[in-house]
Amino acid sequence: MTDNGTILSIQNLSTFFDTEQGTAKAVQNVSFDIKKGQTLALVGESGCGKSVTALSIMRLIPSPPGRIASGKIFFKSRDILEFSERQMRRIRGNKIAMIFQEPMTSLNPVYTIGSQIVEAISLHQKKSYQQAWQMAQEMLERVHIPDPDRRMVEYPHLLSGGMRQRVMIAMAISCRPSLLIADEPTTALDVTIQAQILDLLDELQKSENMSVLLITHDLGIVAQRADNVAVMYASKIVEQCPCGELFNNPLHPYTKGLLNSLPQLGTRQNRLNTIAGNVPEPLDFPSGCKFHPRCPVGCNDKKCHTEEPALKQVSANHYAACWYAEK
Amino acid sequence: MTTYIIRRILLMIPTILGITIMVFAISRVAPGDPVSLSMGPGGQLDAQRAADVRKARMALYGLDKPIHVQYAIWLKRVVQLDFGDSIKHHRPVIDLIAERLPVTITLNVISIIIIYIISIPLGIFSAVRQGRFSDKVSSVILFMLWSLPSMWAGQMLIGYFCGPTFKNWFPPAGLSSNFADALPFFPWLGDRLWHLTLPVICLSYSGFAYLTKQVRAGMLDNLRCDYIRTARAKGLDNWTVIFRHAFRNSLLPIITIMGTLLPAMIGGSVIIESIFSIPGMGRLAFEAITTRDYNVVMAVATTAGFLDLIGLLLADIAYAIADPRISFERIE
Amino acid sequence: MKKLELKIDNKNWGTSYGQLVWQQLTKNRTNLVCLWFIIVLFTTAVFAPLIANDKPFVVRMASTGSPQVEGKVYFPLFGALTANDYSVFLAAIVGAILLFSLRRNSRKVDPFLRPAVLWRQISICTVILFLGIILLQIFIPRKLDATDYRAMLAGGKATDAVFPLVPYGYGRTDIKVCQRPPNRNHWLGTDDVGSDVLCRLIHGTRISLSVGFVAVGISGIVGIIFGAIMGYFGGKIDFLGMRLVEIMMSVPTFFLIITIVAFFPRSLFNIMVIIGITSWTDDARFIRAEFLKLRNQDFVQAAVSLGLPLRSILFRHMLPNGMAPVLVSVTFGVAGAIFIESALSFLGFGVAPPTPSWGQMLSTGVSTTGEFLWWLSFFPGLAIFFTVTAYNLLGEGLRDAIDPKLRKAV
Repeated sequence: MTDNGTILSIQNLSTFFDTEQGTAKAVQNVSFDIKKGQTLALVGESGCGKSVTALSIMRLIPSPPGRIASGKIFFKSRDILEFSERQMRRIRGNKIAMIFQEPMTSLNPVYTIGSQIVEAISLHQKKSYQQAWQMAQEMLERVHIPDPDRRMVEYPHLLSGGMRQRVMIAMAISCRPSLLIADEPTTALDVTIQAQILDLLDELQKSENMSVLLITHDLGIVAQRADNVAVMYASKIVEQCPCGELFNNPLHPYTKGLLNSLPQLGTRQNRLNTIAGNVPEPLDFPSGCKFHPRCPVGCNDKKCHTEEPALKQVSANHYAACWYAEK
Repeated sequence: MTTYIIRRILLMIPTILGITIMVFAISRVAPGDPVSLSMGPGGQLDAQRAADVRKARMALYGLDKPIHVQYAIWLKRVVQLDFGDSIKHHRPVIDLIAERLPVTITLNVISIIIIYIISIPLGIFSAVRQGRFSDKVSSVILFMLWSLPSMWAGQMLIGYFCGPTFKNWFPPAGLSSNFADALPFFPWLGDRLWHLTLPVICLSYSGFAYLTKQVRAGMLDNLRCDYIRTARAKGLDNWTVIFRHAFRNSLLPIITIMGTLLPAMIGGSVIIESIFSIPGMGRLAFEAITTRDYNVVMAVATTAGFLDLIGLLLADIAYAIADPRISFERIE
Repeated sequence: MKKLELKIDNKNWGTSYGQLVWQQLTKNRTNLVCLWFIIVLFTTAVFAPLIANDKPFVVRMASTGSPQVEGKVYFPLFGALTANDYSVFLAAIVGAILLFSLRRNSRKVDPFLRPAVLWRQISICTVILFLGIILLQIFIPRKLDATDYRAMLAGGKATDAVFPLVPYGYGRTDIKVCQRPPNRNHWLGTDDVGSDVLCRLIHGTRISLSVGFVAVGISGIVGIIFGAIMGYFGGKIDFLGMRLVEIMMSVPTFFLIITIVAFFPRSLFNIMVIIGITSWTDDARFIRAEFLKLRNQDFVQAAVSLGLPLRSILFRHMLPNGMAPVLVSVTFGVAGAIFIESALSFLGFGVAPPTPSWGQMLSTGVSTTGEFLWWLSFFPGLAIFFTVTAYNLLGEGLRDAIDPKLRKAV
């Protein structure tokens, strides 16, 4: 894999969970690339496998029930699935960083904020304690936390949700990672705070030339912030294209359904549109195309019942996994 | 922090008062008059002893006065540490307690230290190895230990290890051997520890089983928390995550458990000291009840309650030190 | 009385919370083993005089002796059953009827009416039980049949007799065979006055189980009432109540118990009551915590705004929702009560001989000469250990069954 500006390249990643009721195939054959300095949004409903994909990149899947069954993940041209745990630890928090959905519980309540950021810094960089402390304080400034020197010695329970998420971001960027994975970073926050956090992420991305994998289910965020989009449904990517393409020319019926269900300003609607049916359980996927029971065009098509469409290129940079998309 | 401690000590005072009221009430609610109570069923007391008992109780309680006055009289004496005289030993009760109390405290303190030293690593270890064979086996063994009645364990240990019938490795009774006073310090200490081995084992095994289970459960709960995921995402290795992050959070409940362990162990001292003939407070209570020495019984009950409260206070102080939310209360 | 049970056509009521917990509980093999063990214990306790008794079921008299009794058939065992024994039988029958009607209720009765129907059944059963016990106590004569039937059989005065499984009575002492290890005649040996150990173990089941139940019943009722009032009213009542709970909890329970035992005469009833009134603090704390949480929930506010009486709000609406930790605490409480009773009897403060108590039997394990009589230590100790373990395991299983996080797909 030559370095033509691609930071992350995932090829045919599959992650399974072995449970008593059977093997849950949470992620199947997922492939996408992220280029340097760009934001890829991974969109989908709850339970479609987005978070599992992110955790698989970090190799944080809990090992007894879960396993990465197949695939390659190239980070800066090296397959990190082949790394030993020790090598992987040098990457985590250092070259690839992750922030999570629940800022209220993601910080350790018995340690000060400063010590938690310092821990991240001194783990990966050779700095004295004073230097690390100084760096941590600078990080807090960069994420626009007021009064950073006071916050450094405070405990997490004194901070609000938005503040804690900023602290998480500060911790994540403290070692200047090349890739930041943000797993629904604003879902648990108020709408006003959401905008602030996203602006912050934008700003950091530009100043650090950082790539971002943004996982979300909010299409509004996708429209504003993403360069490329990948839509996931039931463990597979069903559509992948640049952001504008997605909104102007959706190809997959699922994507069309999602866009259709957004409330439209300016028009009068008595009822919101929905996609009929429910998201399938990972232990009980339908045969053929996984979307076919809910698909307006495919539910009666025998081919959609039996054969699963692969992600194929339909036009430049636009991939879709649908038998009808190619027509 | 100091305000917290002072506040806790002040809160102890009504509880101590309450304990004295309760002990006093028990002695008053008891049916029968003092003489027949002292005799027990079917016994005969000679006139002299009966007169002694009546006199002692009259002096201590002022039985002819109204009940709250009686309580006030008794309380006043108790505050001056005057619990009256023991009918059986004919000595002030407070002397008896002063002799026996250190023994019980030593026994309990050694047991608690051993419990914590062994349980914490074992609990962490079985939490990390959850689901594997060693964890399942240790869970079963710990559960059986927890359910094992202490008097049975004590008796079986004595029967098997102390007597001529099977093995003769440990002394069956007493705190030191007869010749111990003549020994220099270290052999004396060794002899004392040899005598204490079996009693400490009996006193601590059920607390140890309970604490290990709680440590394991606490660690498992904490290992599921989100901040552990954050710690791993930072790139920390497994043992650092376990000890620096998960364990530090489990520390608080473990300290709180000392509040449950201590009363159970002080209560258990009665049985253990009786079986192993150790001259501590528990055995004093046992003897006093058998000989119906009421002054001693009430004094021991009050002292046990007081001991317990002190233990709880120490546990609370340790908790306050460990919990940043209390120890760093700022005046904002 | 109103006919409370309606004929409902649609029987597809969802599984109630209690049924869910029961299903989850019985999935685990360990819990089932414990339940069966406890059932066996109960059966042993109820039928103890029929399992271990020195009087035979039936005896035929021999031709020697007076002509009136020649060849006649007597049933000494049934004649010697006391009013207590019959009361225990009656209680067992009533209990079994209640359990079956509980099952029938869950199938045939509308869930909303179930509590009312259950209360009606419980009241009827309690009334029958009390009346029955009183009548039995009045009408069953107190006989004391001290005939030694085995000697009669050996001496030829009786031709044949059918003895129960363990042909010894717990009151019968026989100094000639005292302190014998297990042998063919006495399967588990004899104690220091010559009583058969197995027989005393079997009869001791009654003592242990009755202490367990009565003590836990008392502590449960007192604890629930205290906790409900404290949790519901909060404020000053809660503050005072918690101080009382703290005072009771700060004296080590065992010390408190032996202090009380010191001042009161020794009897089984006293011990049950004493254990009961010293153990209510745990239940009170659980119920208080649950009620504090429930008090702010909407359904309670709705009940209050409807003007329902206090006892209805507390016990009909809030209590079923907060019972779960108390059930667990009650199960552990039975184990604890049995353990405390054994400890008390072991120290000599509990029931007096000849009443059989496992703890008292344990105390005879080391004889006055210092000799270790292993069979007197091992078997009673094992009985206590198994019983306490069974209840503890059941308590743990109940706790896991109630915890929603551990619930697997049913």
